[in-house]
Amino acid sequence: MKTPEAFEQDTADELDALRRALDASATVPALNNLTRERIRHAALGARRRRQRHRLALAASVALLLGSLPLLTLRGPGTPQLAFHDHPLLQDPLLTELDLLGLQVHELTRFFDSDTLYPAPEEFL
Amino acid sequence: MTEEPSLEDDLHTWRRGDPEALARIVERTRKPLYRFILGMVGDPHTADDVFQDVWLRAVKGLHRYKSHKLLSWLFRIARNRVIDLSRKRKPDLSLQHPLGSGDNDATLETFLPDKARTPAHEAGDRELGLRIRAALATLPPEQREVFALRMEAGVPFKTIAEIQRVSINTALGRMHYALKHLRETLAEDYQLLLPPGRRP
Repeated sequence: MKTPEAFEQDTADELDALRRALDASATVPALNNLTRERIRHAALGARRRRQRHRLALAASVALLLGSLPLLTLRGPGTPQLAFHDHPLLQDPLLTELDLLGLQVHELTRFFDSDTLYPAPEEFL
Repeated sequence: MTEEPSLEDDLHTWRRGDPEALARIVERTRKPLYRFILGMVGDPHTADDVFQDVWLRAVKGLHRYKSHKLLSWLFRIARNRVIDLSRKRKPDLSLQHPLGSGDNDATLETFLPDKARTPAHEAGDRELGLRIRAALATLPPEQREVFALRMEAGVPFKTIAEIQRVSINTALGRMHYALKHLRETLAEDYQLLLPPGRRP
């Protein structure tokens, strides 16, 4: 099989002539206002939905911060805690701040994951 | 002199909250996308509807999409919409089937070469273009798609292969068959298209 370049070169006259005829028979109409408005409206709707998800994330983080004192934290010599099996939790020098960071990271990962936003493929 | 922002710049600007940037993106992608859809559906009014539908779907996932793949992604949405449309309509591809709005009672047959006419009677490039489109309507969808992407929208074969999820050789093969079909169907029109000695 030829390469695309070789194919284009061998059929250049034919393709040019076909393109000219196609161009002459196709006018691309200007985007009408109704279509423009519908697209703009759909985009705004999509943006609002994303903002709602972000607000939910912020609220969850705030809730988490608020409940921090209630979380059982691991201190030296205390048993393994329930939050996660993250390897960092094995570190005896882990501070409360580190633990909070891990929780926020996990939450962010959850909210950024495709469980909330369908992958672009799904819009195809 | 300030440079015009690129598609990537506009996408970035839109993601930061400027709605006007989206209008520019739609405008920039309009010609290749519309021409591709027109090449697939043949009718300008249907092409307009499909174009709008593609964008209504695209904006839902646009914030996540990589800008350099944007046009390919739009083409893939468009091809799927065209396939959905053809399934819904169960199109009658007989040559006597009316083409729909804009051409009154025109059918595909109207645009196929009339054996009684000589090339001298042909009305020029515009009519030739319509005949080409009518001939393309009888191609299998995957061949018509390659032809429309390459010839109407100017998409490179490598990207066409990505859009169709086939090898470049398969895309080239489909283009080859599409051209062969046109040569056979538009036998006399090819005399107008190409001067003697330069015909394939």
